[in-house]
Amino acid sequence: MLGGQARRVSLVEKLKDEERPVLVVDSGNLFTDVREGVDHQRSLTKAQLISRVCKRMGVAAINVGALDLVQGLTFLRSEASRGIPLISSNLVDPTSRSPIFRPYIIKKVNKSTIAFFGLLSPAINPAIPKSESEKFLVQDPAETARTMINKLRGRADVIVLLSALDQYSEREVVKAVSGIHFVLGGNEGGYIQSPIWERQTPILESYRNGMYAGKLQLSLVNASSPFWDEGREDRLKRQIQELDIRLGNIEKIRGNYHKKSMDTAVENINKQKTALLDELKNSGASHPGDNRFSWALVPLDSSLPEDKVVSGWIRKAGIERD
Amino acid sequence: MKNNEYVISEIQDKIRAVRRHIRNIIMVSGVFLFFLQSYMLTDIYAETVQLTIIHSNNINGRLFPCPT
Repeated sequence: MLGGQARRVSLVEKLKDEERPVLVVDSGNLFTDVREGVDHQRSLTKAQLISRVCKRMGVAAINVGALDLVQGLTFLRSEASRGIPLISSNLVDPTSRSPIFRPYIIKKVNKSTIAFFGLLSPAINPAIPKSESEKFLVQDPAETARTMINKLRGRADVIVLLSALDQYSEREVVKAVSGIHFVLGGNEGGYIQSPIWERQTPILESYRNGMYAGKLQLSLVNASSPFWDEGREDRLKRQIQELDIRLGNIEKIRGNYHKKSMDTAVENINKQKTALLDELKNSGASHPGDNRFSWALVPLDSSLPEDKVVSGWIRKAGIERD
Repeated sequence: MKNNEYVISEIQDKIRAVRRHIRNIIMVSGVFLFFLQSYMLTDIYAETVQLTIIHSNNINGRLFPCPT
C-alpha cells in the first residue's frame, strides 16, 4: 500500500527539518475522486480535508486541473479565499476573459526567485456538469504559455510549468515557447523512472492517486546557466548494466530456442546499448557555473510515519477509506 | 677599450633591470590572478541556492494509501 495524505505531510515535515528550503506544489486533479458511485457530499468533505492538508504543508502553488472543476468553481473559489494558492493561467471568465485564479505565483528562496504558472487542457472533461462548464473558458495552452513567459522572464530565475495537460500537449508547449525550465505534469498518471526531455526542458511526473511524491532538488548557481541532470550518468550506467544482464541471460538459454528470434533479440539489445553508450559519451561533465538538478520518485510507503494531526482530522470527519 | 667595457656593463645593467621588471610583473600578475580566481569561485559557491520541490499530480481526491 502506497500513498496517503498523512504520509505525504510526514515526508514534507521530514524534508523541512533538513537544511534545504522546501516548496510543495501540485499540478492538478487534486481534489476530486470521480470514480463511479462516489457520493457528492462525501467527495466535498474529502476535498475540504485535502485543502486543509495543503494548508498544513504550506503548499506554494496548486494548478487547477479539469477534474478539480468537477468539484465546482464555488468550492475552488472558497478555498482560494481561505488562502489556498490555486493558480491557472488559461482558465478565464467567459465574459471578461480575465483569469479566474492567479495566473502565476512567484516564490523567493534566499536570493533566487521561482515562478510557477499553470495550464489545463481546453478539452472539457465530460465529468464536469454543463452548469459548471458554462462558468469558465479555457484558453490555448501554447499561446498562454508564451504570454506567461514574456511576463515572467526577467522576474524569475526559474520558471516552472505546473501542467494538467497530456504529455503530447506539454511537448507542444515546450516546442512553441522557450524559457520553461521544468514541466511538472503527469495528467495521464503514468509511471516514469527518469526525466522525459523535450529540447532543454525536463518533464517530470509523479504517477497517480498520491502514491508517490516527486522530489526535485535544485542547486541554482547562475540564472542564465542551463540545468545539469546530476543523476543522468548514473542512470545511463545502470541501464547499460541491465542490458548486459539481459544479454548474459540470452546467451545462457540460446541453445533452447529458435536461433533467429534469439539473434534478433541480441541485435535489438546491442542497438539499445550502443545508443546508451553514445549518450553516456556525449553527456560530458558539468561546469562549475552550471545549475544542477536531481529528480526521483519517493514512494509514500509504511516507512513514513503518518502525521497524527492529519490522521485525526480524517478520523473526525468519519472517513475510514477512499 | 675601457669605453667598450663601460658600454657592455651599461647594457648588462639594463638587461638585468628589464629582467627584474618582467619578474615583478609576473609575480604581481600571479598574485592578482590567484586572488581573482579565489574570489570568483567563492562568489559562485556563496551564491548557490539549494532548494527542494515536492510535486504531485492526479491525487484524485485520495486520502488513504492505495494498493500497488
